[in-house]
Amino acid sequence: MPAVSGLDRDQRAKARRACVEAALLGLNNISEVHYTQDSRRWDGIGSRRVAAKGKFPHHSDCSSFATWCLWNGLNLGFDIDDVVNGLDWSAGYTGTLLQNGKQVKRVENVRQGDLVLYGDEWPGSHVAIVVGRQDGVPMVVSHGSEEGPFLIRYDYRSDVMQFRRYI
Amino acid sequence: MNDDYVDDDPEYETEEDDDAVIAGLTAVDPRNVPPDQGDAGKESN
Repeated sequence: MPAVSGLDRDQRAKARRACVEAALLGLNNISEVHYTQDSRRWDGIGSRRVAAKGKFPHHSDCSSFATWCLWNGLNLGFDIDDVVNGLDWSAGYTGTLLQNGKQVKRVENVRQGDLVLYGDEWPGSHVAIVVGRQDGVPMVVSHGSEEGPFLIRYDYRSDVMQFRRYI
Repeated sequence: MNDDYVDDDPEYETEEDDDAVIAGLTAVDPRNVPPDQGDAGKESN
């Protein structure tokens, strides 16, 4: 079965690295990545803020931040269509994130660039991106408030809904 | 919602992460994180 993104193994590794680098760039510029739910949340992609050039979104919410990270790895890296939200890289929320990609059932199979969706019911209420493991625990970069984004363990909330893969 | 799982997909079997990129980073204590404010949702796209 081909990968969700259609990329081969080496390409996926490169895409994952780019996603993680984007997320960590946001983390390293925490005071300049403001939280908003208004239309400015898509400025990261709309203004083509390329993480490899040190550019990051100045306004974002959880889903647009996670999507921006994946856009860096998939669209900028390999010209992949919007397999993340299915909306031409111009919109999306937890509901469209749940409608796209494929689910990772077991936590031991979670990889960098996968998303963690949170919430008790459809369409979810929060999302964060996996950037690796510390002591075997998947760690995410989560941008859920003005104080973020944060590096934090994936299960910092009790309402983990599912893991999803887009790469 | 797509219910296919990637866990048993051989395409992904040999993948390994490079955790070194976050090895030196200090994570936030979950007890110190302010409540997530939620997602903008469909209406705000």
